[in-house]
Amino acid sequence: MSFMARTAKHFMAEKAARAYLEEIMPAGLDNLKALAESGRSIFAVYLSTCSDEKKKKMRGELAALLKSGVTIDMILEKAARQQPEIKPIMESMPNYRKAEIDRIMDFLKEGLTR
Amino acid sequence: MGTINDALKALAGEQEMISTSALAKKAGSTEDTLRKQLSTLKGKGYVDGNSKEGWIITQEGRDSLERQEKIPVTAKDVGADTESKLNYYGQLASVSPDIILATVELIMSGDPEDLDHVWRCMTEMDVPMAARRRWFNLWRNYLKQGIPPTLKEKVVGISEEAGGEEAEGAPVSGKDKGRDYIIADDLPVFVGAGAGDFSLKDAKDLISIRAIRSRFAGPRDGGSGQGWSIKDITDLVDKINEKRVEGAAAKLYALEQTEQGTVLKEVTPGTPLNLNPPGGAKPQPMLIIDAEGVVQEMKPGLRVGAKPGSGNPPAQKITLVRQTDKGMVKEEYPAGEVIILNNPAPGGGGIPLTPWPAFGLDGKPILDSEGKPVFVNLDPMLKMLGFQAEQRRADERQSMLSGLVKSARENLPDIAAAVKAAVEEAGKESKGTGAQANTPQGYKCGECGTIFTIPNIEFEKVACPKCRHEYTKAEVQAA
Repeated sequence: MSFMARTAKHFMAEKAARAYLEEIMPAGLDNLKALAESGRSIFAVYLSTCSDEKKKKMRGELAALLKSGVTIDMILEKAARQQPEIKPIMESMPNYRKAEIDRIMDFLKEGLTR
Repeated sequence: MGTINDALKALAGEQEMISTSALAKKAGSTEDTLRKQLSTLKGKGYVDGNSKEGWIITQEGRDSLERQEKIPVTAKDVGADTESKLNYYGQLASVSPDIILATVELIMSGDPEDLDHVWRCMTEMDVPMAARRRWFNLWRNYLKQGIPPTLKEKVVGISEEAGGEEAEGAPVSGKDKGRDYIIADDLPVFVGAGAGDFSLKDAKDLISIRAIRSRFAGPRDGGSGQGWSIKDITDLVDKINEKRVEGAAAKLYALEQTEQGTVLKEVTPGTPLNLNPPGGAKPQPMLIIDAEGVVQEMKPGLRVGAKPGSGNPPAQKITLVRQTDKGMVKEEYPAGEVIILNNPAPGGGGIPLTPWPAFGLDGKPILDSEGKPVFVNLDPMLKMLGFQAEQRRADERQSMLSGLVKSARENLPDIAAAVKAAVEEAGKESKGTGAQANTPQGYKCGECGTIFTIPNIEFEKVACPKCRHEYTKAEVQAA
């Protein structure tokens, strides 16, 4: 992979992380922390507020990201770096991060099976 | 004695300068009269000198005498003041110079524009009746005044000339009946019943004759001197007609007086001829010369046209409208003539423009007063549209560039993070490659084909772990 392609991949991951943070941060850090401590997926709660059209659009964008080499783990990692307050929430519960990634992958697979 | 020629003759006999008084005695004239005559002669170059040093005849003056020329005294030689004019008209009326001098002196003591006063002065100075009438009438015409009623009989002299019987008891004689007009500035002016010189018809005829004569006489003094006589005009028309194709229509020509001079114009049959151009102070008489060379004055109501059956109908013409540097130019060509249009060379810079017919809102072509289509020049509009398109493109390019800059500025942190992550990733991969280089190199046994590695230690011999075939260090390094 060339340096330019690698940079482009990371740039898209950065943009995706920033977009994700812009969507969930209005809920407030305390609420997000409470959700994580109660074992509920932040992404699942966020999805419940989205319309079908928005879900479809999000699914398409995520699929394109994965196709270009961007992983969900990479997006979450960049989100934690961009918003350092998120990092302790991710690490508050064991396997929380892995559970979030699986939830997102399930969301993608739901779109593929339909 | 006492004319200007007499003065010159008297001076011709002198070989040296002669004083004005001596010359006056010799010429039998008065000093004042002679002084004016000498001044006139000096202006013409016939004499030289002045009243103080004396006078002498020039060679040009002698030549003039040898040719026995009569030296003309023109109105130009006469001063513009009243006294000079009175003197001049007295000379023209053949009044004796001494009497002129005395009479003018007397007239100037009163009002020279009062004709009763003028006549009384002339009578008192005993100016001969015939000369007196001539002088009085010249002066009256100069002042543009009619004959005063009180002087009518004396000035006209009907009773004396016609026996006086007809004039007795009648305020206006039969001969003077209708003579109510004088001519002032080439216009008939009514001055009272019988107080004028002409009837209205005579005055108009005389004005017309004067106008025709002055037109063909050309400049009177100096100038080009190339006056056109009627014969010249008829010769010109004959020349033109000689060139005419046999059987073609006879042409008519009109002479029109314009500010630029006399213009010979061809009269097209069927085309109205404007005899009274708008804006003119007064209508100028116009002459028309037909194909036979007959000259006649144009008058309203006179029909002008080719004689029936005199030739073919006028040739058809082609009107061509072209776009030139000076704008739209309309040209006419005879039908059947080959017209070559010089379009600009390709890439020559200029855009060859075709006149575009103008259409109204109803979709029909717009016609001018002559019924010909009106053409519009689209060049300025095309240039304007081109300019607007270029401006729009420039605006879009500027907008795109500014958007790109704005987007780059917004994404700068992400770009920086992406580059940093890419560099780190690349660094990790390169480290991974380096670790792989530290792993022991594998060798393939030549006997059994087993791949085996050699530990990173000093050795002299190594054996295949499967077939136990031994290899020396030199053999391993050569592999």
